[in-house]
Amino acid sequence: MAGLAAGVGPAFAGFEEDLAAVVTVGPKGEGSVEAAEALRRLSDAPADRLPALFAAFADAGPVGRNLLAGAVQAIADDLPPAELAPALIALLTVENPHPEAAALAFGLLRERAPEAADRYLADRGLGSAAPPVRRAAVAAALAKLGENPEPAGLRNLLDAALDRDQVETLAKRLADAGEPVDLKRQFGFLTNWQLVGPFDHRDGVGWDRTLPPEETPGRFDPDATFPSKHPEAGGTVTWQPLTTDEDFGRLDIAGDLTNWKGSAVMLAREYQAPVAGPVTFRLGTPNAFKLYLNGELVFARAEYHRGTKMDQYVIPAEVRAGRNLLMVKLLQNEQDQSWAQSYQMQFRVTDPTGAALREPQPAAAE
Amino acid sequence: MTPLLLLAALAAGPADGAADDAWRGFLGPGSRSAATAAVPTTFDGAGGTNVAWAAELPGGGFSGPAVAAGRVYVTADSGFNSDVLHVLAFDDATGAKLWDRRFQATGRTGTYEPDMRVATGTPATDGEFVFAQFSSNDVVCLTADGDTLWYRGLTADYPNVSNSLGMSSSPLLATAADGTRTLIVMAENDAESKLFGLDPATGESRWVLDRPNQANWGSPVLLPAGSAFRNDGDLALCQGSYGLQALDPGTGEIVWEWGDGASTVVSPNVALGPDGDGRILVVSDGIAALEPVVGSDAVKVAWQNSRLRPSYASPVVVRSPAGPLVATLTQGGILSVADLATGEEVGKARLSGKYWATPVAVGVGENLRLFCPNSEGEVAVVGFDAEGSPEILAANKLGEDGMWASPAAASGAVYFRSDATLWKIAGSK
Repeated sequence: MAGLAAGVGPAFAGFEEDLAAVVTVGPKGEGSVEAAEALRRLSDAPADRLPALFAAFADAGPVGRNLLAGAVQAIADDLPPAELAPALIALLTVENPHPEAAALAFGLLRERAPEAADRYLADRGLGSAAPPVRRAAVAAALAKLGENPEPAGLRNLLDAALDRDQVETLAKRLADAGEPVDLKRQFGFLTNWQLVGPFDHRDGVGWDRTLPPEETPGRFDPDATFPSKHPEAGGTVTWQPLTTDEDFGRLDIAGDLTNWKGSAVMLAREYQAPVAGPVTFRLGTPNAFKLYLNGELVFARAEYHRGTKMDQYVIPAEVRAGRNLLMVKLLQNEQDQSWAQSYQMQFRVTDPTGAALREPQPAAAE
Repeated sequence: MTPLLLLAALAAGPADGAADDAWRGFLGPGSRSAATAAVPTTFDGAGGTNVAWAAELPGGGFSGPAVAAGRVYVTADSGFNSDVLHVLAFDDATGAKLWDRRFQATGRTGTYEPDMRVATGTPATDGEFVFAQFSSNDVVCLTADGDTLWYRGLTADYPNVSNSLGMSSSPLLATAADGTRTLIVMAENDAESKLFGLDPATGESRWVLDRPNQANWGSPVLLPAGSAFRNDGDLALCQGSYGLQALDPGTGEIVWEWGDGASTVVSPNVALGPDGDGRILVVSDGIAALEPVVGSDAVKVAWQNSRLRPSYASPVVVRSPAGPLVATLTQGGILSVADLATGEEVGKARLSGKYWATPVAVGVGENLRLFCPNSEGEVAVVGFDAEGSPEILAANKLGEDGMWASPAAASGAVYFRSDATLWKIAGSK
């Protein structure tokens, strides 16, 4: 990097301006020319600028954070481990670091100063805001547990674990210790919904068409009756419960009701948010869907039978404290292959890092 | 170099146009067999025979290496959710890791298929800059020294640009007739299908095309300027449910198109050799070989052979003692070769194992070697007799499962990558 910044004026005189240029880089490449020039200078900044670069993660969008990460790594490459490790520890221990900044700092620490990383994990890792750090801390703690650990210790790790494999491992060990875990609730799956359908989606007509219950996606009337042209609907359809006890919250329309080919259904549910603010809706389905929150379309995707998994779609949204109305339009096409017959959905609510946001108590609609 | 001069360099391209010692992206330099320098026929990953070096990788990937200006670039993904994206550079001479840049994926990384990876696109490089594209539709440009220049999150920009099975297109750097360079980024999928032409200097979109909503795991392929197809500037060949389209990289305009359907799993390939055997090999009902129409910029079918059916490996052109041939490989290891001029089959070989990677051809005539890595970590090395019939010369164990990436070849070496290791195979100088 040395020399690339030659001729750009007093070194780092414009550090704050450069930082702002990177932080404010917009979508679709907007502002990337200014950001690229600023980034060259930021990547040459001295190590004492690292805290400011990390702090800027909080103000940047996803692209800006990656640009900042690039600058941080360029600076880190020029530092000996003895100098870099304390700087990274300092970054990890600031109050409320951005999860991506903490993950980056920890990744660099683990690579350059593994013993310091292990010490940090043991001291503070379980409380980290960064999922990869939490994962490493849980793994390290699990490795230290004896054959018959106290359930309280396992519970403590379960509270910290975010990733499915670790949650399952801990749940099994707790079950073996006589304290079974409700995986559905642990992950935050919403297991009780109301469903209405089938509506006509033969020849794909239901995707663009506004279904009767979709006309008022912000209102749920459990006694409503809707006309339907689907041949198996009998002319009208009404809301009916759809629930699941499956560990991963799989609501199986084809298995529990009918695999209505060429159909659309609406699923509705109130979600009681513990607090107002940003959440992620984590949805898994092999079917096309449209998701509404409090009457507003949040996300829609017309993809069928490309597989499904837990957290297949991670959809950011803002909820209000207390009652929120979720509605999902789910669509089944007319493919006849054996692998194209699933009609299902999994749905959970988490914070942006993936920690479950469980309802304080069962929603009123259930 | 000041930042402004740097951007100018990015826009203009590399000062040296040498390609024989480089492998600048997926399918290498114009799909020609790489350098004629001998590459060892036998090697052994565990024993170290003819292993110039082996470098540890921080995560898995199906992306192949790219080689230029003394550096070997490769991408990887790591983390429980495969959402940490790595771009790495290694010293070509020693295998020393020069830098590893990690980024946080801004698009989707999970698929239900545990064998899928996020580092799927082979990076493109001109020797001064490297461009990496991931299954999450993150695209990043770095200098050869590892400095980040720009970053795009295409799924962040267009939320339905994704595929629940994952994506695997590699970026292509192409130069229009007026000298403008563009990075072609294919992101074709079921829901919001796009093709991007990005300014390589800034990452900004020169153009964005809506494409048919049909998943596509192939990559854009270069038809270089001055080819037998009478193109003044480079063209980007895109193959998919629409057939084959040749696009002007500067504008995204479709210059010509052929057919009404082609593979969405593998990529086309181009044969432009010293023999003047201009062919574009489209994977459509087997292989359709297109040739130019004399006196125009149209194309016509020279031949079509429905028995040549590649599964996941793109077709490769080899220059055997009997002349140029087309080689196709099935997942089950059936290697078929046909005359490039006529499409008539010349011979077959049965390789062991399962094959996802596109083989790489090195050398010509008696020195021709086709390196075919299988997913179990073994590389079949195929030679060709005087009639052009393939014969297995060796089966070399690199010794690591999960080798799905297409190798690279440059300067008398072949480069392989698995999930854990990047190897350089070369004879002693």
